[in-house]
This record gives sequence, structure tokens and C-alpha cells, in this order.
Amino acid sequence: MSIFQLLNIFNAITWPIFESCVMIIWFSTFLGHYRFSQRTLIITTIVLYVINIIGNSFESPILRAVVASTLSILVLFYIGWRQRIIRNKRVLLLYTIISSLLTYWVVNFEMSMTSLITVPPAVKTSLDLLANVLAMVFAFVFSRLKYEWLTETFLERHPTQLKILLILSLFLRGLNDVLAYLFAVQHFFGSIWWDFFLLVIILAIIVVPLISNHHELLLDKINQHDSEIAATQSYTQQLESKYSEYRFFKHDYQNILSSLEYSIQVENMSDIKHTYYSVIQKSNASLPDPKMLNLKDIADVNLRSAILVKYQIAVEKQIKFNVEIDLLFQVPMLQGDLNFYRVVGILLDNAIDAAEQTADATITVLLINSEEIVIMNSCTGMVDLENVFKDGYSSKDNHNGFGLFFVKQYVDQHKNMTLTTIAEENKFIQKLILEANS
Amino acid sequence: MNYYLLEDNLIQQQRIKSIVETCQIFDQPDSFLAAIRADKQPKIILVDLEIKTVVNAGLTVAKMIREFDILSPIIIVTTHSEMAMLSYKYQVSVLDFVNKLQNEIEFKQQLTSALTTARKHIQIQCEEETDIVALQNGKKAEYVNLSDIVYVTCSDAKSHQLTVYCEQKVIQIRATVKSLPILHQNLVRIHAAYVVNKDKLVSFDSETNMIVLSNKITLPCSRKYLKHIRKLVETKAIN
Repeated sequence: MSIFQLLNIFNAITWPIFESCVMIIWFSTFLGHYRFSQRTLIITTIVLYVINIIGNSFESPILRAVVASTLSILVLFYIGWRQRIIRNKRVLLLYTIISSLLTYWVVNFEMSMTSLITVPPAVKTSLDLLANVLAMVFAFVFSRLKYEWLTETFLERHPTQLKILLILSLFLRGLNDVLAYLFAVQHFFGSIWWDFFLLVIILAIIVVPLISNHHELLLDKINQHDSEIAATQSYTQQLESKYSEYRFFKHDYQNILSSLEYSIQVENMSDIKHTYYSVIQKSNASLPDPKMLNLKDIADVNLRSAILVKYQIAVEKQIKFNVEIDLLFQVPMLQGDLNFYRVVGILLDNAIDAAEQTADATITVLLINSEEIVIMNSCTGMVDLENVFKDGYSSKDNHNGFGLFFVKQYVDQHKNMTLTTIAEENKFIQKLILEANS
Repeated sequence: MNYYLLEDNLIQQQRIKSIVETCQIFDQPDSFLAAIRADKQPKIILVDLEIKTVVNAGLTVAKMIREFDILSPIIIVTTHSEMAMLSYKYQVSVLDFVNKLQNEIEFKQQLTSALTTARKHIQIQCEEETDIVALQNGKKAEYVNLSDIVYVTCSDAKSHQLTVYCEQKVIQIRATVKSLPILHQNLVRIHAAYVVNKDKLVSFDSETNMIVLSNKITLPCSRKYLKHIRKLVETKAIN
């Protein structure tokens, strides 16, 4: 009997700890495996613990049902907001509510199971403990999966979907509280069907944005492919026209040389001089610019076409676009990484947008030693660096400003990559440094 | 002022010699490098890009010079106008390119103007006696003139992203605030988030604990560094 009592007391003490830990684990999983500092973790756990204890010690059943769950959501929200992990408050709220729903689900499920069949109190208490441990294990396993949810940017792009999901989750949370109240005043004895229904909805809230995000990415990829093909075709055409320019020049050149030979034979120095300088002049004027894109040295076909697409856009906007490569540019570790091409694309897009507004619009891309991509562009005035990387910042109207924020996230995720930004008067430089094989 | 030329073609050697009379001419990269390394005087370096039919030899030589000398102006003389000029400019901070295919008058004009710019650069360097600071950026370094730096701040304590405010530009790099004062004694920490160049310090307001920098920016001082800052401002006032 004393063991049962001990177990009961142990359960009463550990229950809130389990709940708060599980909640924090879920929360950090949703935040993209965000690692809280040890201090924050400890303080949060203690606060949640106190909230749970206070919440459960109320006499009135309605308070018991509502206070702890609502307060814990508020606490998590506050922490997420203070640490500025996600800037969009709605997304943050959605994540906190889902983590709270998931946390309580396992225990609620166990409660309704045990209330349906009568079990001795000792077994019930141990089942309670087991449920808590299981909830912890579930949360932990999911966080270990290291799955990139990445729905945050997606949700920010689709405010209506976010609103629906948010309202749905708020509704579930409210319903859960009502049921908890009914359970407490013994009007409701739990239903497995309800629990399963709840689980399905929670999972739907998590999975729906995930699937539509993937769907969107696939569509993007197809579109990108199309534009790459178009860019390659027009590039080929340009090369062909340059080639015919060379042929014309060769033809002219031979004519001039033969007339030069004639002048030499008759030893007419002034004619020779005249012809010679006309050749020089002509070769300067009619020879095509040799600095045209030499993309053949980019080993990665996808990177090549990513640059090519932007080159075409820039040329259409009458921007001088130079690409310089002195050696074969090859980064095996990034081969096929779609996000990397997207990062390069975003940087070039920004360069085009900024250069477009300047009188002498130029963009220069340097690819150096397979370890550095430098994008320089002309711009008006000096760019405010404090803000450019912030989410939602954009120098353009009707633009969401996710671009550079995405770049920053991507670079931060890759330990061997650094992005250096230099803003000068009328010049903006982005250097993407790749430390291969490290 | 000393001039060095690396060029293996005799005619071109004479051509340049006629413009820069005091020029020391080399046709072997080894002896060229040795001579430059031995000379501690300010110097201007002229390099032909193609040595003994190796097209990129000049760049390799320029890179080797940069390993021990990051200040001397380098001018590249070349027939290969199609080469990746900007790339070289960026990698080894080549000052200018002079195209050998131009006629004599144009060639002379371009070379002389390049040399004038180079001399100006050297003059500025001598007057300022600048220190170059290598700001650690990931595994590489970003080189900045110490006298250029005004202050450095981290935008976000978490991300190790530093913003370096210079006189004419702003640079964002990946490094920690902590690593800066170690680089040079002139970089002084005044706050968890700020490091300033002590030469740019103008005044200190002891009521609000704010300092004013040369570009009129005011920054907060945290209590931890107050004593040190006060001392700095006082010694500055005496000087």
C-alpha cells in the first residue's frame, strides 16, 4: 500500500515536469529544431511546472480545465517571440497551440481509455505514469527524426491558409478545454473516437501545409526548367550570331591583307600605313566583345543555367552582365542542391533589381577557384545592411522580402559557407564563400 | 620610388623602359620575386601576364607577391584583353591593366596614368601609416584598413553576424564581437554588442553613458567598460 502511495506522490510531482518537457520538445521541433539556451530551457520548465501545479490545484473545475493549458500556451508564445525565432506571430501561435494539443493528447487518450474500463487505482496510477513517459518518448523520437518542416516560409506566403489552420487549432484547443471541464464535472467520460478524431485533425494541420509546400516546390522546379531551356536556346542563338560576326570579319580581314600585300609590293608606304591603321580600327570596331559569357567553365549544368536565365533577364533590361571565370568552377558538394541554385538566383535577382535603377547598370559575377562566388552590382546610394536580411524587409513595393531571408537561413544551415556583404556608395557586393571538403 | 617589371619580350622591355626609365627589368619570376621581397621601399610593380607562353603566369606571380606584400600597387601589362580582368582585380587587387596592343601614344598615355594613380596610392599609404586588419570571416579573412573602421556591431547576438561600419562602406561578416579587440589594440569594446575604433572616439557623455563617434553616431556604453572608456577619452583630450 505504501508503494502505491509513493507512486501516487511521485506521479503528482513528476506529471507537470513531463508535461512541460514534452511541450518544449514539441515546440522546438516545430521551430525547426531550434536549440534553446540551457538557461531558457530551465526557466521555461520551472515556469510551466508552476503553472501546471497552480492550474491543477484550483477547486473550480472550469479553472482547472482552462488555466494551465492557456497559460502554458502564452508562456511558450512569449518565449518564441522574445527569442525572435519566428517573426510571424500567427505562425508562432499556431506552433504553440499544436505543441500544446500534441502534449495533452497522449495523456488525454490514456485518461479516456482508463475511464472506459474500470481499473484498480494502482494500475491507473502506473498507467498515468506510463502515458507521460510515452508522450515524452514520442516527442523525443519526432525531434530526433530531424525532419525539416520548413513550412514557416510557406505559411507566411499563404495568409488565408494560415488563418484557417489557426482558427481550426484555436477551436480544437477550446473544445479540448470544454471537454476537460465536462470530464472534471463527470458529465463526459471520454471517447476514443473523439481522441482519434482530434489526432487526425492535429496531424492534418501539420501535414497539409507540408504537402502543399512540396507541391509548390515541384511546380517551381518545372517552371524553372522551362525557363532554363528557353534561356539556353536564346544563348545558342546569340553564340551563332557572334560566330557569323567573326566569319564576316575574317572575310574582310583577308581582303584587307591582300590589299596590304599589293601596297607592299609597290612599296607605297602611305597606302600601307593607311591600310594598317584601318585594320586596327576595324578589328576594334567589328570584332565581337570577347568577354561575352564564357559559361563553359562552370561544371555544374544547373548552376550554369541558373546564371544563364538571370543573364537573359539582365540583358533584356539593358544591364551589362559580365561573368568571369578563370578556372573550372566545380563544387561537388553542392551538385544538385536545389536550394543552392535558388540562393544564387535570389542574389542575382536582387542584383538585377538594384542595377536596373542605375544609369550605368552593371552586374559582375566572379567565380573564383571553385570556392567563391562574387556578385557585384551598381546601385543607387548605400544599402542599409542592418535591415536587408530581415524577414519581410524589401526595398521593393509589392514584394514580400523573403529572398534574402531565405539566403541567410540557407547559409546559416551550412557550416562551410559564409556570406559577406559589402555596401559601398553606389556599389553592392555579395560574396558567397564555399569552403569545400571541410 | 622603385619600379619593377617582369617581362620576357625584349621589344616590350624597351618599350616600357622608354616610358619608365628607372625601371628594373626581370625576365625570370624567381629573381623578380626575390628582388621585390628584398626591397622595403615603396614600389610599383609591373607584370606581364604571359611569361614564356604560359598565359596565367603573371597572375600566379601576382598572387605570390600578395602573400608577403598586400600594399604595393600592381599593374598588369598584357596582350590578352579577353582575360578575366575583374577577377584579377578582385583577387590580387590589381590596380590597372594596360593593353600592349594599343598604338604607342595610347599605350604611353594609359601606362602613365596608371603609374600616377599608383604613386597617389603609395603617397596616401605613407601619410596614413595604415594598419591592415584581417577580419576573420568564417575560414577566410576580409582585409580592411584600420583607419577606415569606425565601429562594429552585431545585429543579432545569436547569429554571429557582425556589421563593420567603415568610413565609406559597410561590411557584413561572420565573426564574433569577442574576436575583435584581440586583432588590434585600437579596437575597443564598449558594450556587449559594440566595438569601436578608439581613434574615432570624439566625446563621452557621462550622464547618459553614450559615446559619440567621428561620424556623429552615438553608441551606448555598458557599465562593465565605463572605466576604461573614461580613461580613453581623458587621454585623448590631453593629447
